Amino acid sequence: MSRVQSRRVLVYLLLLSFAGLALLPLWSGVVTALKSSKEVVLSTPLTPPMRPTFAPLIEALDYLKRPLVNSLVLVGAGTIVSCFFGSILGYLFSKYRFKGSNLLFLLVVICLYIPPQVQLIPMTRVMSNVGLYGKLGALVLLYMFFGIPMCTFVFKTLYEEIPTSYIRAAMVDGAGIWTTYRRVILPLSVIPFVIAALLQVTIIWNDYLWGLVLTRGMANMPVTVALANLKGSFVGAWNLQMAGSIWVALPTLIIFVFLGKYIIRGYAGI
Amino acid sequence: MASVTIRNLVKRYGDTVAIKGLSLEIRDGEFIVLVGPSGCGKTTLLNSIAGLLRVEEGEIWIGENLAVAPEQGVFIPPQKRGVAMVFQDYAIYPHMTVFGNIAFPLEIRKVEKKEIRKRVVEIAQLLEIEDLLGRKPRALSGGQKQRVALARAIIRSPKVFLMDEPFANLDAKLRVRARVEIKRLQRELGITTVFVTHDQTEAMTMGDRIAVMNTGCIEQVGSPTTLYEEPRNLFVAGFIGSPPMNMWPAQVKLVQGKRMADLGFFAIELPAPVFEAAKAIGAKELMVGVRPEHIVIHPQPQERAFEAQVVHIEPIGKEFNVYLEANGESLVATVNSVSGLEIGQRVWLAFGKGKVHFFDRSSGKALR
Amino acid sequence: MKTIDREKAIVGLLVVPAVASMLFFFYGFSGWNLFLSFTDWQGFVPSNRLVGFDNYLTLFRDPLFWTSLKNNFLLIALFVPGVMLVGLLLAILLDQRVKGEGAFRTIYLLPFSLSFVVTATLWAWMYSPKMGTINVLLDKLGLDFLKSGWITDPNLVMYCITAALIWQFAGYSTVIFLAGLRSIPESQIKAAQVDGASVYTIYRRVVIPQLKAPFVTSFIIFMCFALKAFDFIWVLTRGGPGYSSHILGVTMYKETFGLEKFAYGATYATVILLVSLLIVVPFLYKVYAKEEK
Repeated sequence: MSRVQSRRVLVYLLLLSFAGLALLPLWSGVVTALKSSKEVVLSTPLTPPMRPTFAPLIEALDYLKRPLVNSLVLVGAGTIVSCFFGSILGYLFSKYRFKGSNLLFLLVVICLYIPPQVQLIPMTRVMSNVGLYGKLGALVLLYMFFGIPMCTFVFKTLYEEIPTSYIRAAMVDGAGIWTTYRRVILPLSVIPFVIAALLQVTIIWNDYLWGLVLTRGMANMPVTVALANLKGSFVGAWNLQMAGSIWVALPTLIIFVFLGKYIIRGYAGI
Repeated sequence: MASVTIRNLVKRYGDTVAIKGLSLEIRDGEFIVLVGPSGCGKTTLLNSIAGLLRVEEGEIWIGENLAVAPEQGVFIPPQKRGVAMVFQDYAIYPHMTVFGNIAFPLEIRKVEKKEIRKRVVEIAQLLEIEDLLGRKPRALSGGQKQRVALARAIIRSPKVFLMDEPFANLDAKLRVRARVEIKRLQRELGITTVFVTHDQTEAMTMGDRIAVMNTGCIEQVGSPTTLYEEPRNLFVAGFIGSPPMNMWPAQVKLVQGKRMADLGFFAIELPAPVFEAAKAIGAKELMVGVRPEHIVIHPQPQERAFEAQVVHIEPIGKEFNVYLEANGESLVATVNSVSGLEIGQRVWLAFGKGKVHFFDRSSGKALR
Repeated sequence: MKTIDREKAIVGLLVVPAVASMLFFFYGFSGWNLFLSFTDWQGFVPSNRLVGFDNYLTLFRDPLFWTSLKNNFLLIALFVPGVMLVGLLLAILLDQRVKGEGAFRTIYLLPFSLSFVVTATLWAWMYSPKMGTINVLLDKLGLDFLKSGWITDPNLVMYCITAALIWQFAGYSTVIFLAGLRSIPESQIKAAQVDGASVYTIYRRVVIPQLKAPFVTSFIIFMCFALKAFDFIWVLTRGGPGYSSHILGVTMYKETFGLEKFAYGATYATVILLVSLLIVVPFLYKVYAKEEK
C-alpha cells in the first residue's frame, strides 16, 4: 500500500470512529427505549432489543403530551414574532446606515452574549407583577423578545448579500422604506426566513432554564422541564427516560438531518 | 424634460471632501457625460442629483424646482424629483418577471392595471424586448438585462435620466451596440441625460457635451471636439484621447530673436498669442503636448524635425500606433501607413503645423 | 410627501417598540439585576433597601463562591481547548475530499441539535455506574480496571461533564473551522504542493496560520457558553456529588430560587455578566465598530 493510500485509510478510520462516538449515546438511548424494564436489566445498553416494545415510548408520550403541546405553542409564537421583527431590523441595519447605526447594532449583538442569569430575577419579578408568573403566557411573551437580537443578526448578515442598488433603484422609482421592504426585500427573503426560523425553533424547543424558572405545573411547563422532571421522578427507569428523551429530541434531530445546511449557514455567520 | 443646474455643491465624507464647490449647467434635452478617473466624484455627483446622497452645501435645481439646498433645509426625496436611474449592475429584481420589473415604478404610483399593461408593452416594443416580458431575469443575457433596466427607467417618462456606468458589465461588442442604442433612444425621447463613465472613448462617442472631473472638481466642460482640440489644462489633455497626448517639458527661450519653446533636443517656435499668455502669468517652464496623429514620420532627415528610433509597431485596424524613442523619451505616433518602416529604424519626426499644445507647467493651464 | 411619511410611521411604529423592549429586556434587566445586587432582598417579599457592597463582601468570603469559580475555570480550561481541538481535527479530516462528507458532517452535528436536558439524560445513562453504557463497554473490552463511579465520583465529575459537553459541541466547532478552511483559496494549497510541501507542512505553515478568525470566534462562543452553563449540569448532577460540580450558574440558581436569597443571586449573576462582557466586548467592538468610517 502506498503512503497516500494508507493515509486515506487512516482518514476514513478516524472519521468513522468519531461518527461512532457521536452516535453511541443516541444508539444506546434508542435501543434502551425499545426494551421492557426487564430486558434493560438483562441486556447490555448497546445490544438491540430482543423483543422490541413501544410501551416505554407510549408511556413517555402520555407523560409528556401536554408539555409537548406547550412547547409547540412557544415555538410557534416565539419564532413568528422574533423572525418578523428580526427581518425588519436586519433590513434597516443592512440597508439604511444612519448615525450610530453601527453602535446600535453592536448593542444588539452584545445581547447574544449576555448570560440569561442576569435577567432571571428581574423577569421573575415582572412576571409576578403582571400575574403571569408560573403560566405558559410568561414564556410566550419572553420568547417573542428573546429571539429578536439573534434574528436581527442573521437577517442583517444575509441581507448584506442583496445588492444596495436594488434599494436605490426602488427609492428612485418612488418606493418608500416600507414598500421597498414588502416588494423587494421580502420576496427575496425565503432562505433568510428559513434559516432564522429553524434557529429559533431549535433554540426555543431546547431551552430549559426559562421554563424551569418561570412555569409551574404540567399545564404550563415546556417539554424540556417535563423531561427533567421525568428523569427525576423515575430514577432507574432507564427505558422510560430514554423514551422521553427521544420524544424531545425527535423534532430537532429531524430538522438537523434534513435541513442541516440552513442551520449551518445560520450558525456559521455568528 | 428639464435642465439641471448645480451650484457650488460640496459633499464631505468625514474629513475627506468628495465634491469641492462644483457648479454645472446641464441644458434641457442634452446628453452630458461625466467622465474621470475612479474616485473623482462623478458617481457621488450623480447620486446627489438623484437624491440618494445628501450634500452639505450648494444647490441643485431640476427644471424650475429647487431639489437640494441644505442651507435652506430643502431636500426633495428621489422619487419626487422626476429622475430615473440605470445602475451599473442594472438592479433588476430577480424575483419579478421582466414585465414585473418594468411595471414596478408604475405599480408603486398606483397607476391603473390596464394603463400599466399598455405602457409596458409600448416600451417593450420600443426596446425590442416584447418577447421577454414573461421571463425571469435569470434567463436574460447581459444585453437584455440592460434593455430591461432602460425600459424600467423610460416607463416613468422622467425629466432626467441618470446612468451610472451602465455598460460596465457588457462585453466589448455589445457595448458598441448599446452606445448607439442609448443615443438613438435619447434623441428620440429628448430626455436630459447624465451619463457617468470612466472610459473616455465612451464619453467622446456619446456625449453632446462632456464634463471631465478630477478630485471633486470639474476640469472642463465642452463638446467632444472642444475637449479634444482645445483642452483647457494638462489633466484634460492627458485624459482625453487614446493613445494619450505626448508631453515634454520645455523652457521659454529667445533664440536668434525668435521666441522658442526649448525641449532640449528640439525647439518649437512659440505662436505670438501663446507667448503673450505665458508672459502674462510669468510662465517660463512649459509643457508641450502633441497628439499621436499630429506627429509626422519621415524616413529621411528633414528641416524642423528631430531624430528618433522605431521601437514597436502596433496595428489597430486601419491605422497604426508607432512607438518611438527620442533622446531617451518614449512617444507614440498614429499613422495611416507604415510601409517602409521597420523596428529599430532611424526616422525623423515633425509636428503638424498649429497642432502643438502649450501648457504652463506649474498651474497646468493651457496657453493659447 | 404624505405616503413617504406614512411609510416612515409604519416602520417607526413597528421598530421603535420592538427595539425599545428588546434593549430594555437585555440592558434594562442587566442594570436592574445590578441594582438588586446592592439590596438586601431575601425571601418572598421584594426589598429595594440598599446595603452597599455587602453582598459582594459576603460573596468574596463565601467558600462556595470560590468552589464554584474554581469548578467553572476548570470547565473552561478543559472544555474550550478540548472542543476547539476536536473541531479543528474533524474539520481537517473532512477537508480531505472525503466521500460522504455531508453525511459525516450531519452525524457530527447531531448532538448539537439536542436540548441539554436530553443530553444530560442520555449521558446519565452512559455514566450510570451500575449498568451504564461506559462501564458495560469497559467490562466487555476486558478493561474493567478502568470502571469507575464517573459522575458519582467527586474527583471525576467535572471531567465527565466536560467530555459530554465536548461531545455535544464538537460538531458546531467543526462547522466553524470547516468554513474557515474553505475560505482559504485552493490555489495557495496547490502552490504549496507544487513547492513540494508535505501535507503536515501545508497545514502547519499555510492553513492553520490563516484560521485566526475561526479560532477567535469559537473561543469567544465556547468561553461564553462555559461561563453561563447551567442546564446540562443541573439536570445531570444538580451540582453534586456534594459541591463538586457547582459552577457559577448552578450556585446562582440554588441561592436564588432554592434559598430565595434574591439579592445574593443577583450578585452571582452580576459576576457572570462582568466576566462575559470582559471577554466579548473587546472582540465585538473590533469586529462591528470598526466598520464605521
